[in-house]
Amino acid sequence: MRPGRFRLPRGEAWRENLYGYLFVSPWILGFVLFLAGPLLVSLGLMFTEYAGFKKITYVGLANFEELIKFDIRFIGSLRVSAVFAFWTVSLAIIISLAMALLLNQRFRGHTFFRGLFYLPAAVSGVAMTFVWAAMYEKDYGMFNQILRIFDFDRVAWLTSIEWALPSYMIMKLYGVGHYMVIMLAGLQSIPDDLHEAAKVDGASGLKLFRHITLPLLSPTIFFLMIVGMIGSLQVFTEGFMLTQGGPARSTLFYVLYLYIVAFTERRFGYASVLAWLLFLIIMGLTLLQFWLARRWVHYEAQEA
Amino acid sequence: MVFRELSLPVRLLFYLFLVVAAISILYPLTWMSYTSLKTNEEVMLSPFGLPTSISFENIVEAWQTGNFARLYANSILIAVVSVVGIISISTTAAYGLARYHFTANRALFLYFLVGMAVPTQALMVPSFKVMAILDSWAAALHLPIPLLNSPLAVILTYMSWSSLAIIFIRAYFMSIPPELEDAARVDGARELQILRHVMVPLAMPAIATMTIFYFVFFWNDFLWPLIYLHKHTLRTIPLGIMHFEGKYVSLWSLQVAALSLAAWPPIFIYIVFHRRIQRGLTEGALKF
Repeated sequence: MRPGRFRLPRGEAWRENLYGYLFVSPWILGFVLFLAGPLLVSLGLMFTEYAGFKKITYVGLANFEELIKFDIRFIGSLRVSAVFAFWTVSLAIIISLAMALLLNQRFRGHTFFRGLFYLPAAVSGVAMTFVWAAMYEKDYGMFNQILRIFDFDRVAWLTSIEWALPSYMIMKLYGVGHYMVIMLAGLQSIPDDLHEAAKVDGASGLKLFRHITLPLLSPTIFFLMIVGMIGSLQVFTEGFMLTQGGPARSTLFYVLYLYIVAFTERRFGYASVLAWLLFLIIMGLTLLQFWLARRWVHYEAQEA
Repeated sequence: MVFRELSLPVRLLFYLFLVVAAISILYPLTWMSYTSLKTNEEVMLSPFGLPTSISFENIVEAWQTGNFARLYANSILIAVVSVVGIISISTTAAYGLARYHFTANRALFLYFLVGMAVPTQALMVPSFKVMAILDSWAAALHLPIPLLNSPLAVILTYMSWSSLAIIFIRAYFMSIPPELEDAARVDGARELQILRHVMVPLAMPAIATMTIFYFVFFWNDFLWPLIYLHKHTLRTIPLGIMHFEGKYVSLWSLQVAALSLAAWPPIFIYIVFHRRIQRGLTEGALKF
């Protein structure tokens, strides 16, 4: 991303500077106070023991030592989040690609179906989470009712160790319309003449998909992978409301664990270490995304 | 592959698949909506069946016992003020970054990276601390702006998340030819006037998209009200819903009615603005 190449016509340097800084200053102020500031505060808190009251004790590297040597819950929560991110993101990409390929056909009603498939992503949140809890309910829930029709055993969706995390994955995949809309835009940005030219050369169906569509779609897929991973690593609300990490810590997501350490156990120092680790992981993923983005970014006005 | 060239059975199969997918996607939402319009007896008899008649008794009762008037007022206040703030900040910043060659322009993009990358959840501890410090300063100066246990804490936190809006609106500004501004400048317009009367109207699609996007996001957010708002009179809808669901565990029909009251506004916003929301989403992804 580069700043625009346009200049004020009577563009003396001091005017450019004056207006430039004037326009960005409210943003910088908020940024410093509520993002950079807190980030620095937590950098200091990492070396302390602090319960949110007056007393702050300096403990050196004790928090880091605990993280590496003794904290099973940390390892567990990292695993839960990684497993969750891996499966939801890969399944979401496969499903959304299939849906986008279908909806990219010019049939009657394709805009209607597209709008409809995106709807769940727009109404996510607390209310939706409780609707899912109702559907997962053991006796009357919709899923077990359906299983009963086909003579399967009931599943203890959110209350069994083996099904609790997959239940969250299904819940998350309900919002796959979000991926689909972006995938669809990626498909539509592929010029038609490429397909036409390949067809003239005798390519068809699967070959066309493998050698034209998929390579040209790869930036979109990369984008969704990174954004999806970042999003899945930040899952909190659903876990906090439904299972609080249980049963047996099988749904203890990383951010949920961070919240518990901070506000239930009131160990702000240790929570800051966890927060910084999350920050570094996500920062790494974002840098990777920007590095990849450089390969396909373009602005219409700059091309002229 | 052209759809019209396919044979009729294949086309029918295709539609059948789409309809099945559409029904399963819509089911949870429609179930919630129609269940909240059932009477208690009907809910007991068949929890997942369709209603035979429409009754608003549960909706009305959930509205009253859940104090939804207060919840709505709190949620609207926080979402509206935050959105107005974040859009004004982002639009001016985006214009500054898109059009002026000031010395720190490039360096500020590093800030962007940080702003985009900071998982807001990672900030819950230190933000709480910073807010407490600012609160004590305000108290020491006898300023009447309480920051702890006040919607202002949530609003200020939300307003600092402008990175996405800045990137989005800036990209839109950059695609507008600069000749328009030059013309206005020749006519004697000042920089802020150009932004307000030339650029903002032109960038309205991008600004509107971001407005809707952030509004729905703030409306649904749960974590920050949870951290900052401890008085029950300050609760937003997500917080209120959580307490409501915990309190009336056995009253299934009342619970579902409360969920509908929370979910209907975003559904309505989506139905009205779905084209704009989807376009915003795709442009955001492609213009990065």
